[in-house]
Amino acid sequence: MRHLIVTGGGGYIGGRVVRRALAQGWAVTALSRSRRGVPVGARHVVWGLGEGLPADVGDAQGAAVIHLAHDWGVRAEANAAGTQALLAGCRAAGVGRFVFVSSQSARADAANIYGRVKWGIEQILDRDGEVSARVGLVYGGPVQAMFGLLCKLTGMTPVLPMIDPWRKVQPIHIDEVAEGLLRLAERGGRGWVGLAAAEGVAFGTFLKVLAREFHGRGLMVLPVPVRFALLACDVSARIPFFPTVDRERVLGLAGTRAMACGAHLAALGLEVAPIEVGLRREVGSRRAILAEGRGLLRYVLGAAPGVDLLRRYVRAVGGGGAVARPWGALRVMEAFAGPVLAGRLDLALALAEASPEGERALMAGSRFGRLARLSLGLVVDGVMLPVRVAAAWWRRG
Amino acid sequence: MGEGVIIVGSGPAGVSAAWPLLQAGVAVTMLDADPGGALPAAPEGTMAGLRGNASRWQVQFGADLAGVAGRGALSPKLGMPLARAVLAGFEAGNRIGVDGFVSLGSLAAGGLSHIWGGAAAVYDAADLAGFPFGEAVLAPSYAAVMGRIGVSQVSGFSPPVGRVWAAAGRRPATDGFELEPARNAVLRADRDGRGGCVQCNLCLFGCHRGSIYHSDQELPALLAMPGFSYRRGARVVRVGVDAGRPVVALSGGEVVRGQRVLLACGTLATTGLVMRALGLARLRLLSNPVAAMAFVVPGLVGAGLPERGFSLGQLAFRLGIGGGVRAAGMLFAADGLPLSTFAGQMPVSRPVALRLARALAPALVLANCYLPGGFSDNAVVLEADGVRLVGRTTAAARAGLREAAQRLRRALAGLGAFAIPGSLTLAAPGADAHAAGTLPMGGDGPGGTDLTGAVSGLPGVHVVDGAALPALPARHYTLTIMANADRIARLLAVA
Ligand SMILES: Cc1cc2nc3c(=O)[nH]c(=O)nc-3n(C[C@H](O)[C@H](O)[C@H](O)COP(=O)(O)OP(=O)(O)OC[C@H]3O[C@@H](n4cnc5c(N)ncnc54)[C@H](O)[C@@H]3O)c2cc1C
Repeated sequence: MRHLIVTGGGGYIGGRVVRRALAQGWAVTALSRSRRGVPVGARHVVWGLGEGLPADVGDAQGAAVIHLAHDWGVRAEANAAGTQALLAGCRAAGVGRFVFVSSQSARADAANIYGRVKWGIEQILDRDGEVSARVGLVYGGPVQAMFGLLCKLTGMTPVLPMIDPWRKVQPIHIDEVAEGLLRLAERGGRGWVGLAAAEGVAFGTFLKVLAREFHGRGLMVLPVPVRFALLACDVSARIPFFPTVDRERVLGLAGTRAMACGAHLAALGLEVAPIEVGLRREVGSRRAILAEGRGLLRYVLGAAPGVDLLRRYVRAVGGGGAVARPWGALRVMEAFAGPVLAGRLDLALALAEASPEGERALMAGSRFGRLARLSLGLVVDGVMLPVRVAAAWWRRG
Repeated sequence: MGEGVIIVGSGPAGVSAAWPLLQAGVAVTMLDADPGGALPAAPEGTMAGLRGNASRWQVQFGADLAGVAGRGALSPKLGMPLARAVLAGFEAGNRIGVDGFVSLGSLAAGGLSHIWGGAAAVYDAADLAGFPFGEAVLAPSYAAVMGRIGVSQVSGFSPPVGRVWAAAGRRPATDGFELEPARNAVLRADRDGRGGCVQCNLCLFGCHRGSIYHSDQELPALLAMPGFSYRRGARVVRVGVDAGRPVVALSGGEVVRGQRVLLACGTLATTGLVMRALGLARLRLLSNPVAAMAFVVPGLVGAGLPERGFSLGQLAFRLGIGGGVRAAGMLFAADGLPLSTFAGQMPVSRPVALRLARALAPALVLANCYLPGGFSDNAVVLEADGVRLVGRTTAAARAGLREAAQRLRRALAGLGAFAIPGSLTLAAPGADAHAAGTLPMGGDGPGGTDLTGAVSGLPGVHVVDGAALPALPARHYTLTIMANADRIARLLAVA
């Protein structure tokens, strides 16, 4: 059986790689400080960066290593030294392929320490079978790491200040990363290989898509200067319950440069889907569609939809992801709805009417009561007529 | 194979052509394109019962929910599972492309008659102006067809329509506005295995009792006739002449020969076959410009929805719009329609629109109104791989429909039904489902046919559907298509 050794096998990407490798029939040994996060089915060996290759790792001759472990806490050199030690052990044990997980920001003159450290490590891999994978902006999977942070941020406010929202990032779904790493572990390589979307998208667009697909919300991205953002990082660290944004991440983003990796992907036979498509495979996206259905059905019905009705809504949406719902009350904002939201509202209306709860809602009360309530609704709509007229203008313009 | 007559199409036209031939002892082979598989079953029970039913969504949108997207506000029927199945694959199957024209056609056994409105009109002398024969010639055929399919006049109305009709009885007719209970191909009593109408109001979804005529109902009786054979799944892709005799080629490559070939694929498909056979570059296509409009009878707003009803046309009207032009249309009730079909058009927020629609539904009178085909400006154009239907709404059609709407508004206001402002919708060409006149009988231009629908240049090939009608008055035309097919078949039976 093929043997795969994964350092950091309990982490955000590591856990995913291990699970995928197991499914593909690898025997997997995960090296990490604790068993936490290591998928069932993998052998776990307690190990910390700096320790070299442990003796009880099993048969390392001809094995493949994917090295993901990164120590954020210690001084930067520790990562390089630790990797050096691991690599030496691997070479000594006759490991066949060594895949180092690097970053799109790896550069000698990177703005962030992380990028410089990753670049430094890449330089010590100089033999055949030793390859660095420069990974783009990873999204999907567990809501952790950078992805977890962006998820939280995009769901919190309608307006998000962000440095340099026009800068192109190259996102890649976590499963695509895992698959790419496993293909490298199988085939080996030399130098570096980019694992990221070949075409970049503006970071602001990425955030907007995330807000829509995961939270069903629209998002305005407000550009802010880097200096100001760094200050905000320091402040955010002091606000309780607010997700902390550290300077490293900001600098990492600000320093991202385009990475040509189309040829690499083609050589690996790896398909990297657009973010919308990738996000729709996620639980978060299904949850967002459920929330959307619940919100829109409740709005047209004036009562909570039952599970069957809700399920029908989700089915009718089909492969389409969540749509951005306005932050304000739908009663006011409906008039501003673009064609996609309007389509979903029509869908909700048609489904709601054709349901038992819809019939109950429409039948409730006496003829007089129903007419009185309808009149009230019309009066409210009448009051909001100027808003509608303005919205019609706005839409046309 | 086959020495008798080949009829292509089992819609109203094809079936009507088959009877006189068989009765005269001529062998008939009927082909239709139906790929097999049953159409969605018509729901049982009543609309009132369906309304709060947990499985209503399935009936309305289909188990795959595909119908929830809706198709055209003019006819909510077209979005229903039955209609989607009946219309499926027509354009691709007949190599028809469209440009501003709504192509309604069918590859199903029984064709469009599965979803038609059943409105059955007998053309009078004025309607037949432009035909190469008069009322007397068509009369026996009208009688034969009506006898077969069962045409009845509506007698029980939904409340708002009933009020209009009652008011009309009390007032003298206003200038040029005539109103009468609609004549539909609907049985009142059980007959020939079809049930009489019980006013279940599920017309939109298909008539489970078979009260509304469709031509598939006649197949068992046809199959019992000696000399009749019938093939499903026989899609004709080419018509031609071989050694002086007509032939048709099927999609599988098979060639079928007969003494004669009668084309009854529906106007659009038949036209395409003939144009491709003769290489005709461009033909005029008639349609009835049509508009829809909603009226409300105020006293019924907010009332409960009735237990029984009838979703086809209830009252038929005709009105003059000046210049000797006659428009015509139907009045319908809205108590059998999904509210979402009209809630979407109201300029209020959706929750209010839904409740408003529900309050209005028992009080609404919906009208459609047709202009004569002379107001249309469509063409069928031959292309490298098939034909293209090019539709255009003329300024005259727009003005004529507005004028007709104005007169209808005035007439109905006098009868207690008031037009809802902004409800007038002009439909795209073709949405009337009255395509006709491409291969006119008595026509001497390209594509002209003789009194028997015989196509010049294609000996033995006859057109017996709407394509052969030389004129298109503002009337429902299917009964006339059927009568004409019957008339042609009588002539051919003795030829
Ligand atoms: C929603 C709707 C409502 C309507 N309401 C009314 C109304 O109230 N009153 C009225 O008078 N008319 C109405 N009509 C029109 C009416 O349905 C048609 O005029 C009538 O069905 C035409 O009959 P037909 O036999 O010519 O063609 P169709 O009914 O279209 O039948 C065509 C036949 O040809 C077959 N076919 C098609 N292509 C091929 C091919 N390539 N090879 C082999 N076979 C083929 C099909 O399988 C089918 O059997 C309505 C139509 C629609 C869509």
